[in-house]
This record gives sequence, structure tokens and C-alpha cells, in this order.
Amino acid sequence: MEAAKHENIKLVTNTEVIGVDGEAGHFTVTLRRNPWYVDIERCNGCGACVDVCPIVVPHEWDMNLKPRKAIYAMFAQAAPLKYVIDRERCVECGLCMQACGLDAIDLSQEPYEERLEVGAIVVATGGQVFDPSAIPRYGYGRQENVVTNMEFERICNAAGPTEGELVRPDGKHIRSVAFVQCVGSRDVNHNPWCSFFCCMAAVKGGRLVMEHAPGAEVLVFYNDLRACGKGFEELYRRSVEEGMRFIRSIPTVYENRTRNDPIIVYEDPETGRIERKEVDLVVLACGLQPSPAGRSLRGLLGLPRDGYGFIREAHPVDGLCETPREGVFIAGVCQGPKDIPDCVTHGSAAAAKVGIILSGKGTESCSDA
Amino acid sequence: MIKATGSGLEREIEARCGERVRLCFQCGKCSTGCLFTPAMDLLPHQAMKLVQLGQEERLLSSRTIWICASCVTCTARCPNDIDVAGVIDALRQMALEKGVRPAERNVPLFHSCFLGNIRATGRISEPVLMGAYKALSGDLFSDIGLAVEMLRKGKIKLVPSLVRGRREIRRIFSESGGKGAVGKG
Repeated sequence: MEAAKHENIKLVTNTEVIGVDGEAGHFTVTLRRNPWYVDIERCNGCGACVDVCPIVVPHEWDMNLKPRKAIYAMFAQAAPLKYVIDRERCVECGLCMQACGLDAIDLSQEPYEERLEVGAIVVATGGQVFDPSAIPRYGYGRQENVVTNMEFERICNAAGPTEGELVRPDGKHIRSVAFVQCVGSRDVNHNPWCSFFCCMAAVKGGRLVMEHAPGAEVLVFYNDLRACGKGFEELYRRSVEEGMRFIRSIPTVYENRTRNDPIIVYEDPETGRIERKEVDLVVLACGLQPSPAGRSLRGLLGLPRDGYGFIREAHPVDGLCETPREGVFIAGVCQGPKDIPDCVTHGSAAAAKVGIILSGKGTESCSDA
Repeated sequence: MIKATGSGLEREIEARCGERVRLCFQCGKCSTGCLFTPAMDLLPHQAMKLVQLGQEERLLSSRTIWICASCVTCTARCPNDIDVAGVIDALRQMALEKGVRPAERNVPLFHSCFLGNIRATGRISEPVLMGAYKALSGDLFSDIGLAVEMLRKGKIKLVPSLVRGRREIRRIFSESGGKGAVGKG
């Protein structure tokens, strides 16, 4: 939001990059501006159109846990906070046109190309989480109350589908949660790398559950608990002291024949026995992996990939934001899994490198200077 | 000078079946998937840890190596691509070669009766297999109800049938030199 209001920042949303020519200092980027079907100069974000729209579809932003209309804003903090029509779903009934007091709806808009002259490019396409239905023993997709870490984030969010109330998909209040770590990660058959953020995200999620529902049982089934860095180990210890249980065993999730409560089958390391336990909700810590957006932009810019499909950095130590193509930088998860502070650091570093190019002082990295 | 790391047992297992047990990081996916853990004295991931630690005696005298049904659920789930069932098979072979008294005596006995039957006729004959196994194990009546049921449904042929390629089958047995076969049945 703050960035959108900055006088030197121009946000170009709802747009695809379809071509990049030129070199460092003088790139020409060809954009395909997709239509909003709403005149965003006129739209003031009042939302009158949403109220009348008769089309109800699952909301991607809320991991499909909540419905949205065919005319919608992605989320409350979206920038710019304007409405867009999902033309694949829209039936052109025209109700939104009647409801709009500003005459902003325009179904005749067409995509158009635009060229942009830029000095440097930062690729920050992010990643996506592993699809756990690829591992049937976790029951995802077959059992309603087995969710991914992303879905759990939405369930906890005050602006999410449950408005922050800890309710599982079938409507019951959550009194016990099992976090299953390393879903798809550290597995040579899926994603061999450690996804970096999930251990601490589970600790954070577990603490949220204990805060929202005092007395709730939180179990974290882990492989190795990776609490690296300042403050993280301490948070983990505090959580143990406050009653979160950490169990070193990656379980199987069985279907419960009588209730909707998934059954966790795990080894209790204290007794060495295989145990079964019913829980209200299972949260699968799906790891980060390369995204299709990163892949297509990587192809467009001619950037190399690493062994996993992330964009390869120029040097693993002193060229983390650079690519072999001068003037093109990378930031965040498109280069590899990161948590939020590391993404911010990476992005800031890329911005600083861009500053060197734009100032015309050459492209040498700071370490050579 | 740093020498190769890992227990001698780890290296012996690798030489036998090519599996690198040192890759195991004890996530326990094999054990939480295994269907036979109630009958086991060591869980599969504990067995892998004991291989890393070189605890040969405990492994070779365990019930687990004989209880394992080689359903390979553990192998399919291993995030490090270790063929856990293959490692347990190698442990079984070692136990037999070293003359360790099997903790589950009847399991290797059944295997050798089964293979003996195949070697002789090329095809399993239930009465011959059952007769041999029951006589040698001394466990005469445990499944008698099942036998009656099978007889009634015509699942048991009383006259053993022979396959045509018996010579080839005998050759398979002699070429493999009993390697991988259980005991000297």
C-alpha cells in the first residue's frame, strides 16, 4: 500500500511480461495489459457491484475456503484497491453496471500491449507450495480436515474465511491440531531440499492455536526441527515450556470411520511404540517449490535454472541477487526457499544493486569496489 | 588420515544389497507405514539406526527381520530412497549364513518348505507344502479350520500337479547357487 502511493513507484498490475530486449541500463519490456473490465481511474472501490453480482465462485486468495463474486478485489489490502471482473466466470448480466454509480464498468475492454523503458529488472515471482495430494498417505483431498499450511494461514487470519475464528473446514471448533512437517520436502522422490520456513511456521501456528483456544492440544510431528537463527531456538523452547508437544516421527494420516477427526499414526519416541491419536485438524507443512510464473519469466529473460528449477544466482555467496544477465536481478523465493525477513533482505539488496546500475556507476558488485 | 565412515555392518549391507543405510535420518516414515509393527520387537527405523550403529547381534537375533513381510511400503515411503525391505532381506541372509538362531523359527522354515516344493514340482501343492511345514514345525492344528474351509471351496488340489519346465526350474536353483534362497532347503 505504501509502495503504491510512492511518487517514484508505478504499479503495473494485471499484466504479463511478454518480451524483454536491450541490455543493462536500456531495457525495453513489452507488457500485455490485461483488461480489468472496470475503469480503474473511475472506480473508487465502494463495492456496490460485488453486492449485486449473482455469480459465486471459490476465492483463490482464501485457498478456496471462502466464496467470492465474479467481480471482486483480491483482498482488502490489495493495491490498487479496485475491482476486476473474472470474465471466465462472468455471465454479462449487467447488474454491476446498474449498481455502479460512477459508470466504471466497461465490458468492452481488450488486452493491449505497452512498452516500458527501464534501466534494470528485478525478478520476484515467488514460489508455490507442494501439492500434498501427490502423497496419498496424508489424506489431503480425501479428508476434509486435513489442510495445507497455506490454508491454515487463512483459517487463522482475522480477514480470512472464518474471520480469525479457529474453525476447521467442516465447521467444528479446533481443540487439537497436528502439524506434520516435511511434506514433500527433504524427500528425494519429491523435493530434496529443506524448505526452510516451515518448522518455524509450525511453531508460530501452534502458538496461535494455543492463544486462540487456551488448553488446545498442539502436536508438531517433525523430522528435524530447524530453528536456525536469532530468536528462533528461544521461541521453540518457550513453546515446549508452554505445552506444545514436539514428536520426532513423520506420521501417516488415517481416515476415521465414525467421525470427521483424522487419525494420526505415529511412533512415540519415548516408548518406541506405534500410537494412534484422533485430532481435530491436521496441518501439512507443504514445502516451497519453483512456480510456473518464475519458469516462464526465466525462459523469457534467458536466465539459468538450478537443479531444482529455481532461478540460479550468479554466485552462491557474493552474487545472490545477480544473474548472468547484466542488469537483471532476482529477489525472494524465485531464487530458493526463504522466510519473510530473508525475502526482505534479498529484495533490499537487489534494490541497492539496481541503484548502482541506475546511477551509471557501472555494474561491478560491492565486494569488488 | 580419515578413513571411510560408518559401521562395518553398514558397509556389509551396502556390499550385499547396494543400500546406503547411512542416508537414513530417522524420520520414521517406514515405521508409521508398516502394517506389522504390532508383532515386531524393533521398528523398521530403529532397525536402520542399529545398522548405522553396527549392532549386528541385536538385529540378527531380532524378531523384526523375520516378521517383515517384504510388502515394501517402507521402501516406497523412504525419503532417502533406501530399500528398507531390501536391507531387512540382507539381514535375514546374514542371519542364516552366520547360523544365528531365528527368533521366529517358523518363518524361515516355511520359506524353505515353500522353495523345496517349487524346486521339486515347479508349482505349489497346498497339501505337500502344508504337510511338510506342519510336520517340521510341529504346529499341527493352528490353521485347521482354514484348511477345512479351503477344501470345501475346492481351493486345495489333492493331487500335486507338475509343470513342464521342471529342468529349467532346477537349473534356476542351481545357477543361483542357493544365493538369496532361504536355508538349504
